[in-house]
Amino acid sequence: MNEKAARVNVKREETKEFLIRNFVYIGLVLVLILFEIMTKGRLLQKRNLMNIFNNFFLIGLSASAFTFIIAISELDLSTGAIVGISAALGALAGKTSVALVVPVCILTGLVAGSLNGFMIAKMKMASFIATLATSYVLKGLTTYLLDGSVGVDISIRVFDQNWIKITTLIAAVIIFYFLFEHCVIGKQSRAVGASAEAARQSGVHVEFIRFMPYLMIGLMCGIVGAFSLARSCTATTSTGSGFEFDILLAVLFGGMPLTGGWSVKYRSAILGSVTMAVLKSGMSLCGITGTAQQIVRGALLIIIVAITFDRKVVAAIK
Amino acid sequence: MKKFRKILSIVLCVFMVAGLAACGGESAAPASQAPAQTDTTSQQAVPADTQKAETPDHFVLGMPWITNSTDPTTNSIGLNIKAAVEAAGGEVVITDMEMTPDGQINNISELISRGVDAIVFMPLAETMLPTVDAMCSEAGVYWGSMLRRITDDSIREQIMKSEYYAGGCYEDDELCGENIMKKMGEIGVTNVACINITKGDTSSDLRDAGAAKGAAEAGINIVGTTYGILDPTDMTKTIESYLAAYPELDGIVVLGTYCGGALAIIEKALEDNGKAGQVKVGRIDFEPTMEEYFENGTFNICYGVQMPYDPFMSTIILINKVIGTPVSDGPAIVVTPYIPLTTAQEAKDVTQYIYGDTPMYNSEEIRAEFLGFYNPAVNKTYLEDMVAKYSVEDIVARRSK
Amino acid sequence: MSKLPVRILKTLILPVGVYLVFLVISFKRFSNFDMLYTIIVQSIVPTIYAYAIGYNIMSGVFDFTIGSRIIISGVVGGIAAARFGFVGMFIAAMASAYLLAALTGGLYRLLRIPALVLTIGLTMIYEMLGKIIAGSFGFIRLDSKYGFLSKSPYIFIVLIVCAVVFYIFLDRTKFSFHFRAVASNEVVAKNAGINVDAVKFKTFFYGGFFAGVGALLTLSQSGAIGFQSNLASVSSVFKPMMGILLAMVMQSFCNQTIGIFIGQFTLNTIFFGLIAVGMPDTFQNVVVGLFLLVLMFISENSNKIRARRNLMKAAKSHAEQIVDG
Repeated sequence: MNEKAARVNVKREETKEFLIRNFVYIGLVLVLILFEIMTKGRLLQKRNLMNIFNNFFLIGLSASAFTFIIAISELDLSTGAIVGISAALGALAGKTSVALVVPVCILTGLVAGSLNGFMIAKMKMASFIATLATSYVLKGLTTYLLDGSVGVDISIRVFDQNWIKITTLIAAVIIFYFLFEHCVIGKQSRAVGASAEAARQSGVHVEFIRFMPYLMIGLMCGIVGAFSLARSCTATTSTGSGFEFDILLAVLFGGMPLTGGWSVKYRSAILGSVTMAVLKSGMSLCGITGTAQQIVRGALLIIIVAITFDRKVVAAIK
Repeated sequence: MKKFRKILSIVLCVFMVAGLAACGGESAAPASQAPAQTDTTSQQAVPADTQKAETPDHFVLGMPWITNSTDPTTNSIGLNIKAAVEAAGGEVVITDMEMTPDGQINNISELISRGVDAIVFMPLAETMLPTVDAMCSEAGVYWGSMLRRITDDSIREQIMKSEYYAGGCYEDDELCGENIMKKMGEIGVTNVACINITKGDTSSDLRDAGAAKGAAEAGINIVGTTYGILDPTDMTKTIESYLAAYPELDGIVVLGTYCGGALAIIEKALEDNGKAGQVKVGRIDFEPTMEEYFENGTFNICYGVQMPYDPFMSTIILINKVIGTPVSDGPAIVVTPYIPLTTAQEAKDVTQYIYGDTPMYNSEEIRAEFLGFYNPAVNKTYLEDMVAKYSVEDIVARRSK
Repeated sequence: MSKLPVRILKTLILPVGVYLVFLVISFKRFSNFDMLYTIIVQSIVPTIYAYAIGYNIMSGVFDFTIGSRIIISGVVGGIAAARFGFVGMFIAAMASAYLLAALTGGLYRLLRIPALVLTIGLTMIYEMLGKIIAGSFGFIRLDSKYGFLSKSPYIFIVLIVCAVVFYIFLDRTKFSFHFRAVASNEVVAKNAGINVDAVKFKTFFYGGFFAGVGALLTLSQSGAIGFQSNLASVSSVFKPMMGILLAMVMQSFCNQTIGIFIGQFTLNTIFFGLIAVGMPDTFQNVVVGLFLLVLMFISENSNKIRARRNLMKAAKSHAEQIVDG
């Protein structure tokens, strides 16, 4: 009898463990079903799927690289500002030639990312504050450079085609997945996030590993800046504003632990971005007010993290 | 502890679902909260023979708009647009407005995919308009702009050729900036500090340019302009810093702001520094607290009473195009003048009748005076005349009956 | 004791230095007492905000909710003022501040999830709660007769009271030791028998007092307080946080309670200075950002610089000994 009860208990524990481990998947499916019913089938209609994709696309691109930032147990609050300045410089370069827009955006993103990486990896500054300071500087520069808004020739819209965006996203997801799960840099990033000192003693070049994620996110923000220009043909001081929170919310919605290290899963970034996009589209289709949308997103964020956060692997929760 | 966490999670879930359920039925927007009397009036007002007559085909008008605001201007705009659309037999679909240009493009894309027949919106930057036109033309959706002028010649030229652009209204922000500065000059202001919304917004840039022009003409020195203040503490600090750094300051002009209660905060800072009434205050865009400050003599001039009228008129132009009675062959652009406000009584009337809970015009008036389907005389010139006749007194006379 | 003048001198170098820079650039604007007085008065509210999040930040627990909590307390206080006068405003603002602090701290303790995540989620909820409470115009005004707290001498009395309370909890109670132990190493603190969860809860709860006072002062000083959305209230955390960082940089020679005020004064001097010299508004962000970066660099590397300097000194004296020998 006891053995049977123990077996039942084990089974129950296993089920519970399974549910918690896959809560984000289950949550996404539930959200899809809920909104598909509430919108009377409009959510998953072909034309709305493209909207969901457009909501997901830019966040998904950046969240892929952001996984590395979280893995090394750091943060980046300057992503929105990098998108903004990349778009601004891209738009200004576009006045000379539209062909310059994309390279200038990417280059700007890389430079800004390197700057962050240098300050955090080499100068040992706290990422939260350093990237916050960078965002102030970059936002100020963006406003100064644009002095209003700058438009780009409509021919840049050639990059706003669905096949280009889908291809770019798939390529980015595959590359970052490969880097994170199967390359040395991914493993070493998680090792540094788990314990920088232990990683250093194992021969990991900690400074390099802490520098690279910022370079990656800079690159992706540059690309996001370029796609943002391609979408709206304009760079303004509001371009990229709030993007840092969009990315952060996306990875958190995916159940990514901010504590970094080995518990960071790449899938969290993608799942979280998709969940956010579906939520946004679903609530909008349902005609839910902005007030209720914000409350729901806040509550949902807490619920997801409260359920998926693995408290056993963390010595101190801060 | 674990049990408590579970319970807490359940409570949060319930909270969230209740939020969804409660708000899901609201169908989204300040506009949707339009009082039932709009419909009642329309039903009562339309004579039986008109009801039997043909009515325009049902259409859906989409609009990206701020759905989490309690600002009277924002709500009044939504309310009046809804009244116009429903008077024409249409339905409004609102999506929560994104505050970046590419986010707004996503708004347009979403509305198109929701199958709307027309879209009216306030473009955050004019440089995004060719993109919007391309999207709408591709989808066969008519669109109109509101509250923003197209300043770039090449963009305007391109848009004006569009088959799907109905046109729209804009307020002459530059002229308004110029006028408010001249007015400040007339009341003896010589050194002024300005507050404005974020740079890059077309209205903000135009008001800046106009203010500079007006200040030069009136011989006013603009000591500085601060942009994008949202927080009351920052507003207080900014005003205090201008007062401390420039003892000669005798004027403050708010060219625009999204800071809630901005005027009250400015007045408080002036009062604390013993400068209320001495430092003249002007403001573009209406605030409900103006009546009191006009009465105290500590507030001097407001431009912007017509704010809800511009989107209303933009929607009228678009509706006429959608229901097959376009007001002109090509896109129709109508300019609404900034109406000044200088007395407490005017401020009171404006709060009650223009920014109140009822639309400026009822359905009967909208049909008879603004829709070509019911009134063949409606064309661009006719609408321009209507704009010229628009006044606070007229609305008060209509609604206070 | 003999070190006291040196410590005071070191403490004053930064604010006085920054003030002198602007005095040189714009003597006319900065040479009047009004300017100095206004900067001091305007530094008080952000100092109180910084006290409200001070215990959290110092123990490495980020709290993004403070802006939205202050808004709610201010709005509740404003509504109560209209009905019950000053006493009603005081009680309502303080009670709601403590309630929200307890709720935030309580959830942090119960849910055991990272504070950053919890407080971002709660900020989204609190912002909208503030909007709902604020009602039809989205903001609440305070009758100026209840706004005397923001005027002299009351505002200085409030500052002194808050500074004393902050100092006592920071340096003179059992909580001080526990809090510092948790801030320095949570695992070690736990092993030493400290109830870490209770300490963390207290960092929120004790901060609630300053959140309430901050809301009262904001309402009194600005005369109005309104809701914010889409995490806009988070930005109100950043500037007080900079003051705390500055205080942490100066902690070797200046008590953090005073250091926070000095930090806010310095930041405000820069803000006022840029306006006074007529610099474009856009440069304020650039200057504040760069200032923060330099500060961080010094903060993070001061130990290293000090160690290098000591090493050089030791090497020099060793070399001298050899030469003497």
